[in-house]
Amino acid sequence: MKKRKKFTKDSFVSGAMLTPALVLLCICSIYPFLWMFRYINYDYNGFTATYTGSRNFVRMLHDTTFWQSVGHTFEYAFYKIIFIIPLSLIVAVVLNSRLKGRNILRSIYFMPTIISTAISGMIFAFIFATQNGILNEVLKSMHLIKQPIQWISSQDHVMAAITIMALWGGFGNYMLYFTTGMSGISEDVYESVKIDGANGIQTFFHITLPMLSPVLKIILMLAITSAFKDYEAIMVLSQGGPGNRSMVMFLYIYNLIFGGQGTSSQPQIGYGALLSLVAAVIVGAVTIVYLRISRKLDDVM
Amino acid sequence: MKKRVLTVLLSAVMALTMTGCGGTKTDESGKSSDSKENSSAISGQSTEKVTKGKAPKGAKTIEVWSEDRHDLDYIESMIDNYNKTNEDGIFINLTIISDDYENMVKLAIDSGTAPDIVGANAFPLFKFIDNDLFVPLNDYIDADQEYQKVNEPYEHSYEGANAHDGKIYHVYSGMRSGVRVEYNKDLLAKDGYDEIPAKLSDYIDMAKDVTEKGNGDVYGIGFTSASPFERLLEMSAQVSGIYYYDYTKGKFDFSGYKEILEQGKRFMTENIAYPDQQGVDNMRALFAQGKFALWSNASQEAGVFTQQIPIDKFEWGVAQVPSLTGEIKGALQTTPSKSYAILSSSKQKDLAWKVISYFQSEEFTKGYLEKGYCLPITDYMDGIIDKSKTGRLADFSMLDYESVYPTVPNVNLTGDDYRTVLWNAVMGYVEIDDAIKDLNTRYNEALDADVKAGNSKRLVISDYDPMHPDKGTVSYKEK
Amino acid sequence: MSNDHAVYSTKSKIVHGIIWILMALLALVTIFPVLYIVLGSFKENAELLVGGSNIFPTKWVFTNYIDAWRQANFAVYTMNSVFLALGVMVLSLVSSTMAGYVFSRRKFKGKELLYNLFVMFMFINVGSVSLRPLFELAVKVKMNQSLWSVIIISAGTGQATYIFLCRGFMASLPMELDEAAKIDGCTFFQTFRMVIMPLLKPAMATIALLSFRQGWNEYIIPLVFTMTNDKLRPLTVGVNMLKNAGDGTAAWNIMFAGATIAIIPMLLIYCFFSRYFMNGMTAGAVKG
Repeated sequence: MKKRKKFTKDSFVSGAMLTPALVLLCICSIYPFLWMFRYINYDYNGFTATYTGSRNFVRMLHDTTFWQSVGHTFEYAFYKIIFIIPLSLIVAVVLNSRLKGRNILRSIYFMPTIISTAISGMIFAFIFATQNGILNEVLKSMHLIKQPIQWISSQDHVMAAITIMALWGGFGNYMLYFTTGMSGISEDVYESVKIDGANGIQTFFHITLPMLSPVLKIILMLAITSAFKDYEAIMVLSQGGPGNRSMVMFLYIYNLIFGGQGTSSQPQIGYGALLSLVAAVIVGAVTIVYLRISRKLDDVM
Repeated sequence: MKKRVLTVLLSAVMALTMTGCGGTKTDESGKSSDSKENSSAISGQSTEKVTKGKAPKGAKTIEVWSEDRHDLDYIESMIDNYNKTNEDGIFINLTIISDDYENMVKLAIDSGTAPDIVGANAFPLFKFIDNDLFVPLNDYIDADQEYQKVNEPYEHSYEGANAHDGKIYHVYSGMRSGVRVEYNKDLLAKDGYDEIPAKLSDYIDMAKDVTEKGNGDVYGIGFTSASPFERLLEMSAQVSGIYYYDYTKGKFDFSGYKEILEQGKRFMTENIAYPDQQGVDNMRALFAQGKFALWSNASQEAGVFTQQIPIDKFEWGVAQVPSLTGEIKGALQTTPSKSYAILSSSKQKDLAWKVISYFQSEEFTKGYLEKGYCLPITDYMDGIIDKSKTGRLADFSMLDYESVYPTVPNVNLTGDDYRTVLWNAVMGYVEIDDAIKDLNTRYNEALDADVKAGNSKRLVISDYDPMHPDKGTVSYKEK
Repeated sequence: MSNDHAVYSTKSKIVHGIIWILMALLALVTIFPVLYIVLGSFKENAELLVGGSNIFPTKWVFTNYIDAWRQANFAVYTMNSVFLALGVMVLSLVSSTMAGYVFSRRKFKGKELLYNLFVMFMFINVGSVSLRPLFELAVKVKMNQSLWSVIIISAGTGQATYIFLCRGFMASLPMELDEAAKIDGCTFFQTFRMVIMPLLKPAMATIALLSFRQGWNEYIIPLVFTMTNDKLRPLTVGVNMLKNAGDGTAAWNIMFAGATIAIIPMLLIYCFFSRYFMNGMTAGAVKG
């Protein structure tokens, strides 16, 4: 008898605890999505909506620029994650030790995440400029290059420039996540390992990494989804160019929904809504694949 | 350690607060001796609620929204004056929306919080009038002789821009000139040039010469990443009689651009242009530093290069854009500005008209134009303003072949718009023939689909004349 | 803790030194753009726009700050930003910690489905297209001129990440704690408040910091909701207003000054919360 009563009361409490998040979800995510969803079969420019049947769907299938942007998104996400996760992890680990001045270092690494993209976009335009660009001057003075590299204005290097800017702007974030994750690992564990005579690298691979693994999985997932969603920095730095080389799917969608900046095209909210859906499906698929793989790895371990 | 950082930061914050509160406003050093009202966009920007003080009791408030911020000082002072002295009990409340203006207006309309008057010169007309959002102004205009004298509304009505089917929805009281070449006289003179050639190929050769003699420090010409195609090459095409829409047939046709693109490509293949294409403001600053000799933009540069990014290291001149053959075979597109529309949701339409007729009265317009914010659009105003006050704007005055092209039908386009694609062709990312073919296909497909769905109407001008594009007989086809 | 007095071999000293140099190098590279912004805010607009590698102004201009602070109404904007950021922080903390707890500790039908729903909507809504319906909804309930709407929307769109983090962090807290609490007579909620929450401090600090930053950096949402109401605008909107539409140049130098001013409160918040990330705070929690 008692158990059942407690069960219902607990259910009520847990339901109540879940309510704020649920309410927010319904208002801020589900409702706008449903609103947007109904425009999929329309041409909607913000003012008039015309029913067009399945034309948007056909357009999507033939939209080479969009599918290219999907490819670029994968490319960008791949490069970003390959560099940012190890970097943030190593930095977090190093800063977890008795390093001198680690608090100042941590604040410094966190600073880029505070700066707004419009401003940092202009700075990186200065850094990556071909003529008088700071990076080129540094590389030249170190005798690493002879001719200035066209970071943003050439299709060969723009992805590298974008990735570097993404790394700069993001690794503080992931460093923070990892640090938080590691704070759950007790000092005593490290103590006992040191007594056993393990050095830094051994500690890392045999203690830190395994204990971090649940957190690591989550951080990796956050990194993947956010890398797929990144578009603001790219919008500011290269506008998706040159020649659409750095166009990522969410930037393409943004241009559709707001009308491209400084172009003669008008907003196409209906088509944009459809592409948003497609993009969401793609990211969702990637996430599911990732979760499956990580679960399999869990089993293997 | 942390505490120290905190204390340092706190003291910095305190110091800043004190500078903010106590210090007197210092003058912008080294700027021109213009009076305070003419201050540059950088220093004088006040808050959005530009009218001082609240509306007096019983006053009827007219809400005005505008996108323009560069002329805020003058407009604000004139509004203030009006609020204090007008006899109709009107209080004008101006709000500047400088970001995403069109969407904001639509949001406000949808939610019932729309203003009475909106600055309408940048809006696509059909979007608004297809939904009956604007009030036709013909009755008001016809009853006001003075207004007609000053603003010449019937002479400066442009199909699809501010008027349609005989109805005028907003009237322009200013104009931005067509694109011009701005050039560094000293740099060109150093290499033996004292005027801008009229033929495009000569222009390119001149730029190439300057770059070669510049030896990596100075370049012949610079382009911006913000819509570069429309700042030079598209305009050269226009004055050569080439346009992207065939008005006689009512369809898009990009094939005329082939030669322009082939010539334009030389800027990149022969390494003539400044190697970075940055934002407009950045390129302007680089031009002012003398990093390249040729720049092209319209009459805004008069204000920019005298006040905001002042050029004091060299003499700069203004010239016409070159055409393919050196002859002018088509009109150059100009941009009319400063127009106001009454929203149909307004509950005080008559009062709103009174405000508009104030904004576009002779006194207001004369003062505005003499501040050099833009060019006059009517011959009447052109005749009565004191040109000596407008500074370099006089160099941008209207040419006899400048006009306004009738608005091309809006289409729901998949993929990049034509300016992007054509510039990609100039940069060499896509072959010129492929680019033209691609544009013709996509644009006409979109146009056909939109006309069929009823989104757009096909504009046809059977007696179209490239030198006078706004003078033909307009007709709209539903197929 | 007693490592300071341990005897280091020369090898480990060298390694230590190399690591330190690498970290310092990284710090230099990281802070360089920030320095550029701060120093750039003291330049004249024309000099700033040219860019190049002289990050130090040839002529120091302080009026940018005065202009930013006074003319662009920065005092009011800063207060609004603080209010907005605090609001988002509190709301995010409340909703995501409780939700994370429920997801991590309760079993019920459709739990994973619901969880996946949260995750899914993390990447469905694009920027401000979702604002149109929300704005119209706000108008209907007469909340379209209020920062509270901004707080709700900002927290709502960001909560998925934080719920994620909470659930993940709680997964590493052993169930024995819950059991122990239950035996001691705690209800579901009391277990949460007395036992789990104190252990959650690092995660909560992270979420507090990140949600504060999110609220601080919000741009489009407050832009729409403070369209005509200057007194409600936060810094992001205020600073961006300095860009000219129409025929002029944007006042980048003032925007940079504004951006520099905006960094300071964020840094303070970071310093405040950073002690929760330090190791050692949660030591003994498992044992005790």
